[in-house]
Amino acid sequence: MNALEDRVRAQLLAERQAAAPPPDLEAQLLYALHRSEVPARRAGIFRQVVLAAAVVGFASLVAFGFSRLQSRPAPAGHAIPTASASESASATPTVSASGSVSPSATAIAAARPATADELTAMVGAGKPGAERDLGIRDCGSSQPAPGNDCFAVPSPQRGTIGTEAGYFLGARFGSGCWVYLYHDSGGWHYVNVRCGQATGYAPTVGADDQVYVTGCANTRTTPGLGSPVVDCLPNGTVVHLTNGPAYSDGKLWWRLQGHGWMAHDFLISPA
Amino acid sequence: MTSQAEEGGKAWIEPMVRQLARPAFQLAMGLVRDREAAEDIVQEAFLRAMQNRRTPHIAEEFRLWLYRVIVNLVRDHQRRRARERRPTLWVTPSTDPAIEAERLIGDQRLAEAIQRLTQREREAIQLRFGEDASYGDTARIMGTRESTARVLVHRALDKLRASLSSQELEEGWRIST
Repeated sequence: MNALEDRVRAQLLAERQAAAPPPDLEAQLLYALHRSEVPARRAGIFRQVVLAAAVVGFASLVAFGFSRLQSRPAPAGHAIPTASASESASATPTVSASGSVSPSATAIAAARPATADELTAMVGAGKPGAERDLGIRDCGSSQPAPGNDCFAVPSPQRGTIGTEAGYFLGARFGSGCWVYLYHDSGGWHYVNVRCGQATGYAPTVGADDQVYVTGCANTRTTPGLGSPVVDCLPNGTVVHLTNGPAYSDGKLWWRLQGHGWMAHDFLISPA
Repeated sequence: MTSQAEEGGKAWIEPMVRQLARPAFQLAMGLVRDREAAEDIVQEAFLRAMQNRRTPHIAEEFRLWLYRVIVNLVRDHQRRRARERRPTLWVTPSTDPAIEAERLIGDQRLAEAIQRLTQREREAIQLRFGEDASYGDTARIMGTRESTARVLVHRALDKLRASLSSQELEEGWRIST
């Protein structure tokens, strides 16, 4: 019995050795987990929209009731309130029903997947800087593996384009990496890179992230240092990113759900 | 109020992926014999783990939970494949010719004998001897009782013994060691 058990063990061990996992397995998994959070967040947004619609509907009914009351002759000795429904509405803050700050920058485009040509240009411009900052070499024809910590861009390439800025997915051994760039007339330019095993260490559209700051970090109505301040979020605040990156005033900016735009530097984990 | 598993950062999954992605892939690969399917199964298992609010966050408990999801996903996959009447790929080419040659020389007859076991017997063998799981853990992962797991393992060993003559057993063992 033991001889057979040992033989089965040896056979299964040999098969495990032959079934080597893909070198970037962890990065693939983390990317898939990261992507899976988007539908859940959309469901949350849908609930918020339904709730907002219900509130608006209720407010309309109340306004309709007031207008009917105002149109009726007042009985003697009974005063009708003087505040009209329209005045109440005008007193509402500029924050929209969905809880997000209304964007005033018309030039801001919605984030979209990068095309193959854009990815080629972004990877070409971003890879050397990422490898330099990470202190690892390019994988070349090899792949990240134990004892071979190098930088690679998983295939198929994935990236996102914002407004004159973008980012693409890279990988080193055991981690996925996001490489950030801005774009001008001279082409794409590397900004920085962050690698990690889960969301929350670096900004990407549709995901949660957290604020890294001493004191608090301003959010603004539009991308840019001259834009009015909306809020000031303390260190560790968990935020949900709905758009970006946008390049303005020499910085990348990200739109945070319900808060406006925040500079990239406050949304990346310390290097 | 959200559960821990629903929190946006889901930072708890990070060390789990780091620790278990590769063993989980090897378990899936051992059961399903299809590299692409094994990758899909492992990804789906981690996704379910992250989205299920009842997923345990203690490493050892999480491992058993993940492996049980993988076993269930493999069963689903095998059922689909049986319906599609796709051929079973037992011999998976290795990227390393030396390893592949060693595997073929080592114990192809045993590999074929294992392949002739039932799905549940293969699961029991893989968990008990491939993963070195206790009978208790084997039973938990398979979603059965410990006594049933023991029966499956012993029945599988009986079948393997019957498939291999005693001479083959000796020769095969000498070659593989």
